[in-house]
Amino acid sequence: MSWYALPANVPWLTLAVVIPLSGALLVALTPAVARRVIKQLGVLASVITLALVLVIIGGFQQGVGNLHLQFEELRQWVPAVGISYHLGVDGLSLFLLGLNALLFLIAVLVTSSAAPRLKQFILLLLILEAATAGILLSLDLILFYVFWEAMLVPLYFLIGVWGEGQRVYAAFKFLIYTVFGSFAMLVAILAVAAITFAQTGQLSFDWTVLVQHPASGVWHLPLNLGEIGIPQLLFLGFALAFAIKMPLFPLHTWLPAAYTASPIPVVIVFAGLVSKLGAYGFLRFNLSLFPDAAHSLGPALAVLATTGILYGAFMALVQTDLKRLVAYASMSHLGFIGLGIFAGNLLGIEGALVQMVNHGVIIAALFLIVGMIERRSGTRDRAQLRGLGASAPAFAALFLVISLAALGLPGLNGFTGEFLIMLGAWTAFVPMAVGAGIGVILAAWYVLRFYQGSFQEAPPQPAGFGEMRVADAGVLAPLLALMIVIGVSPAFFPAAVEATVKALPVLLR
Amino acid sequence: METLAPLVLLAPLVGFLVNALFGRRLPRPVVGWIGAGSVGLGFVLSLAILIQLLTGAKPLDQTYFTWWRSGDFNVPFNLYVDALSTLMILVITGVGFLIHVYSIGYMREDRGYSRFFAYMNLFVLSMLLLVLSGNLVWLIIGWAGVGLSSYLLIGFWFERTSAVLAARKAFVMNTIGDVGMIFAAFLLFLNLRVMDYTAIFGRVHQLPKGGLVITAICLLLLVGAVAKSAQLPLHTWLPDAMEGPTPVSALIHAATMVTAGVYLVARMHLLYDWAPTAAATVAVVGGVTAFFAATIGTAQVDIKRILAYSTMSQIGYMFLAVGIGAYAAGMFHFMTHAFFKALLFLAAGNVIHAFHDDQDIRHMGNLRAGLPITFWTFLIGTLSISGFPLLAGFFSKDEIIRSALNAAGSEFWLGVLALITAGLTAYYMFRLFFIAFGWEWLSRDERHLHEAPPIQTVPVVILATGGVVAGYIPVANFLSPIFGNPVEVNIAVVIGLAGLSVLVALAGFGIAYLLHARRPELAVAWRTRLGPLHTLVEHKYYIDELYDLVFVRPGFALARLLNDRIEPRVIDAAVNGVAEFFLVEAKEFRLIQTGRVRSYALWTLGGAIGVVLVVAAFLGYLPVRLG
Repeated sequence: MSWYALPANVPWLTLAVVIPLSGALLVALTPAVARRVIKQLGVLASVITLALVLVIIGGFQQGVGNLHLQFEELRQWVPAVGISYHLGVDGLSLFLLGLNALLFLIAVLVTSSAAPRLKQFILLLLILEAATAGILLSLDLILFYVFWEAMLVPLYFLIGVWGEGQRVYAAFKFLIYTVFGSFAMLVAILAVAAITFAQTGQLSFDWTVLVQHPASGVWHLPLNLGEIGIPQLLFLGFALAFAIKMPLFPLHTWLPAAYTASPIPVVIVFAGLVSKLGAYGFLRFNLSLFPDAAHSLGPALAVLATTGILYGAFMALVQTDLKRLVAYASMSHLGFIGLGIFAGNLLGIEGALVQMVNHGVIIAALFLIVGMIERRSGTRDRAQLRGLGASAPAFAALFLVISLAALGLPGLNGFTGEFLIMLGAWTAFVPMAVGAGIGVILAAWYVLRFYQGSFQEAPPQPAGFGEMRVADAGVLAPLLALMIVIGVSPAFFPAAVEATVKALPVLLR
Repeated sequence: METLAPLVLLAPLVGFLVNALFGRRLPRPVVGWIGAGSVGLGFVLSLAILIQLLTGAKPLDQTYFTWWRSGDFNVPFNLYVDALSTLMILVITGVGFLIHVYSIGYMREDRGYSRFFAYMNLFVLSMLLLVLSGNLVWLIIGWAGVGLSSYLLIGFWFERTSAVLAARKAFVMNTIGDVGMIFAAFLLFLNLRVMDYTAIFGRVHQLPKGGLVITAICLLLLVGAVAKSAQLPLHTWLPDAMEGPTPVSALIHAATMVTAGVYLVARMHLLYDWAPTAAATVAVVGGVTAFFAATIGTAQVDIKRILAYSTMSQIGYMFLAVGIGAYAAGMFHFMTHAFFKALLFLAAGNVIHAFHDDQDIRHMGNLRAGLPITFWTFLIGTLSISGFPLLAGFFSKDEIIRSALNAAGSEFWLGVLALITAGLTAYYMFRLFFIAFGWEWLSRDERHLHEAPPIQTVPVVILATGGVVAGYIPVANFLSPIFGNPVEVNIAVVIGLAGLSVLVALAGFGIAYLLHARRPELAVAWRTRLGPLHTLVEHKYYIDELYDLVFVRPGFALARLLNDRIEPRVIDAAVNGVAEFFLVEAKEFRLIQTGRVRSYALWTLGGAIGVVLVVAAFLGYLPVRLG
């Protein structure tokens, strides 16, 4: 990759966090009545962030840098306890950073200028963008944890205040779940630093340090209840947080409620990006810091991931609320990502990485489509929708392409990821790959029921369904382009991430 | 050739894109001729490739770009052009072109004119990609593209519920096949570490012959082939596929799609030669499907449905051929079949138009006077498929039957089955002919019928010419660089077997003549006499109902169980239970739900204290042994 070399004295990654925050600050200083200015500020901040991130992606060089990390920034923060401000980007985070910037731009763009409390809404979206970018870039565990928690607050309010239906219940359920997982992770973070300190005499929360000193040891349970490996225990601490965020079956029950309650701009980044942060966490921490535990616990997690694929697919088959349907489809697709990660081999993990981008692109597009359907027809109930393609052929065509990407049609992006993930899974544990294959067949079933059920047959209901407008198509255009490019010619992807994945401790072991 | 091959793909791609993006704003004739012209251009380019091959050019395996490369997993986009793929692209673009031209007339009144031609071009493009791809991933991409195009065209009239359901059924069944192919690709890669044909063919002999691995690979490939080619047991989508416009049926049944499975086995013949059990399975699937479909064909009354079952049956012949190693014979039959089956469908389309979209053969008649061109061409097609001496179908089908009968062991019995099927074929085709086209030509029929315009009859006549003369094209010699020289057979055996099969076909013809032309009351009598057996055949052996009972209903039942019971009452209940456990009692839980931010702070505080306690314990008080 790498088309050019970026000057090293610019804090590129800090800018990726600071620009959305500056946007938020400017929005905060703007009077709430200046709605158009507020929206334009939001768009401007997201556009600049996206441009910056694209510049970073273009300047990323495969196989360069300490641990393949690039654009690193390291400053002391709390030196007494080994906490630092350490940012860096590598093959794991590079394209997710791009997805982050793209989805937030789309989220801001589809936010209606007439939305209630627009100022606070845009403000929280931009803060959320800064937090998620920080999560992807942090190389210090405490810094990561700070961003991880910081993400929760705007998300909680975005659902609880601007949501619909049982929004308070949904937001609270999500909050409780996440906080529960976060504490487990915090304990694990503190413990891993402490144990490394005891082993090496160096107190550090720096990922680049910890990754080179994998924790070891055995904890003998009191009362002779047996023993458990320390790495396994720490692995589970991180795993709980990330499994909830993904979510991994059976920790998913916050998901349908939260997605259904979220307004469309929020659910785009929530389902499209935030869920991937759980998967990213597995790669960055579980598979890097505890490679042995990843090998011993991977198969069990792969079983959960495969269960999630099938469970989500069956659930999607019988949903009548389109948002709920897409929510379960999302869960099924995330099972694929989990399966690739827990396969723990090169192709499985590369497949998971590309599928994270794919999933973000596809799920965002599906939720956008659901939003457009609801805005035009006033309902998301599948039983009340029929034959909409008759009056909106262009809408039908774009929806069809998105549906095909979602069901993993070879030649579009979903297939690229699923193929590699299943190949990786087949290498590691054949039955899981077969289960995933059944998931592919079920996906064809539920996606076509979704598409055909709303856009085909006759008579059209409701009548006079509006055709896709240029603005709608423009928002979908980059997503559609990515679906085709990653399906037809995805070679750029492994070219950028292969070195990082090959160096993952879980592969080296 | 390395520039011609991608151009063959580019022509329908451009046609597809133009019609898909701008078709609604272009005048109809432009749309139609872009659609047909792009395929015609593809045919010209294919002819150029053929000439190069015939004048001694080497087969091509050219890489154009990389799809994915990581570790030793290297998937290029490469095209593989040899005699086999050249034969395929010639038939696809040649017959495909005629079908497109016919469609210009047939679809002229349809609202979705540009959409139709866009889909048709996508279909041709996918099929060309399928046969030209030089590796498994792009084979699968073309393979799925064919499935997609068939879905789009079967469901073309999307206002009809029956079309929507038929399209979905075709797609899901094809997806089952796709997954089989994907798994076959996995096994190939994990054992040979390559994905492109040249390397696979070079390394396949590293695997133990007849071993588990190669047999599993070939059987998984067969799953894909069976789904795409509508063979048992994944055949149920094909008869429903006639929900699409009639030219679509011609395209699916003759030039593209269902022949893909035959191509796949022929393309992978080195693998099947190395896995005798899998090859035998292919032969059995083919032989049994040929017979099975032919029996169903005898009891249908919908003209397109009868032709659909005849396709299934004829593809069964091709599977039988490639299963017993008579690859050239299978491909030969593929070519002749493309001519006469496209002809039969397109002629049937003219008939259906003449009867205002009524497809029931019992309502038809008087066609010789009304639609003379269609009448005579349909008769040629019927004779050709029935194996009338010296017509195309006669040569190719005989070669398959002869190869099977020549073989030792169980394959001999498949040959006998194929021979019986030949008799059934003659019967059901002439039954169709006599009932629909009319024994009534002798009686008077007052209906005024209109022959189709030339744009719909000229392609049919050209195809009919092919159905007559295609048997004289030396396909086996052309393919000999791939499958070896044709085996010399004693001329007496050839004539003897030809005589036998002609006799069998004559028997079928005779029964059809007796029951449906001479003495129709006998047909009624026999139908009552056969009672349950006739009902069984008429209802396609109730296989659709069986699948519904075994797969569809339990699938939905499980989904509803998960949605109505498991999710709310087990999983979520467990989660809430855990929450209640931590919060001591439910009342407090409800209380906290209302006090949003405050409770968050409370949780944070409580959690932080817990964390400090745990860490302290970890460092000092717990019996932790480090290192």
